[in-house]
Amino acid sequence: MTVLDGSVVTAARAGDAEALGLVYRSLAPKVLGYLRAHGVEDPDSLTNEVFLNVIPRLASLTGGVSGLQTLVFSVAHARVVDEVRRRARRPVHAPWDAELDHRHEDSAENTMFGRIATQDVMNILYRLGEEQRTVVVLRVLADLSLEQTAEVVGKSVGAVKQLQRRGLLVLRGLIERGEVEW
Amino acid sequence: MSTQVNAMMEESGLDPLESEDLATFLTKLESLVDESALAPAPTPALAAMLVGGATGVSASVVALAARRHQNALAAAVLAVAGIVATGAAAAANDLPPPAQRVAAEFSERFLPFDFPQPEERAENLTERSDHTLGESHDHDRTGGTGEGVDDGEASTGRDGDDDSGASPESQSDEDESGTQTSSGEGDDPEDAGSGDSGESSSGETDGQDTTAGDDASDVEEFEDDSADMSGESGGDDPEHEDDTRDSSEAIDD
Repeated sequence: MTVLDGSVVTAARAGDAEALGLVYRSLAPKVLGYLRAHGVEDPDSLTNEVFLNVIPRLASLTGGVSGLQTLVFSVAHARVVDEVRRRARRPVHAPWDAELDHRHEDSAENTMFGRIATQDVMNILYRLGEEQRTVVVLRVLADLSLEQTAEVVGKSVGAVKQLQRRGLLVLRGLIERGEVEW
Repeated sequence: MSTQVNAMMEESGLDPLESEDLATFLTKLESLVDESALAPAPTPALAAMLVGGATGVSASVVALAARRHQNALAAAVLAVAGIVATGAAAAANDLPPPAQRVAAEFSERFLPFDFPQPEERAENLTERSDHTLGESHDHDRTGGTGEGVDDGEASTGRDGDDDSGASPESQSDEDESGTQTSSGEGDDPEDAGSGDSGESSSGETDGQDTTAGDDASDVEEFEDDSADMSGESGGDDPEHEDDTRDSSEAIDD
């Protein structure tokens, strides 16, 4: 996985193409995982949309790598919130299409060792509440700190810490009781 | 177990050793990003932004907008210049006749002023040329007779050369030139015989009135002149009156 550092972020702020590509390759998979964890309809397209929104704002970015991560996942979280609200207003009922179902698009080997596990993990995450899932995913998948997560979701650090603790307790109970398989 | 998972469990007051299954689950969740580390393919817009950078894209957009603005401004200036030039040419009646006609019709319908029709230009040109010719002709006539001639006659009369040596009286009575000439000769007292012939010719003139179609006043005037002339000659010499009758009778025969 590509590792970001301060020099890359500085170069990206200056519009360096190589640095911008590095930023995208480093953060896009995390954003994609975050969006998938929230079950958005088209996570690939929404990931592109997130970076289309982020890159023009890099010039005014402050905070180095931490600030960049916060900005990227703030935008991604806002997109997720919009998606959730849109689905709440107008539920989408689409027929199942095997080609569009990313859960079964890979080979048998990947299915054996990767995707099935991914879907199982996602199914467990879906047992959490919306805010608990957001905090856990941001902490684990996006590798954000408590402060960064609090800034992204717009809550206090204490509230985020409490959401994280309750989420982890729910997960532990589900796993120990054997209600989920993964 | 990663440091992030360990930190999360410590922050939540959970012992990683007591919650081994939860720690395994979080590690598995963390590794999902590593397993599917491929970033989604960027859309063309995002790819252009990644290649050119945010500043490059904005600069190109600004340059394109400026170029479009300049093109639009140049087109507007050319359009206004064309309209003004066409309007000036139409006002001066210098456009080709079809275009001038279209411009004149357009101005009559939609504009508060009217452009001239192409026929007016032709009339103006004719008047201008005639005026020039008339002025030169007036000079000739004035020099020849010493009398002024009106412009209408100068403009229309290509026969002005024929009149150049004629008297004003003969000019005013052009329609009855033949009879008037004979009556004028009849006024001469020395030509009494000619006066007789003038009287006889007046009879012929009466016969010619239907063919000549001249106005009656001229004929009456001519008859009066003939009568006066015959009266004068008769008063002077009664015998000569008889001769005149005889001659007229002979002609009637």
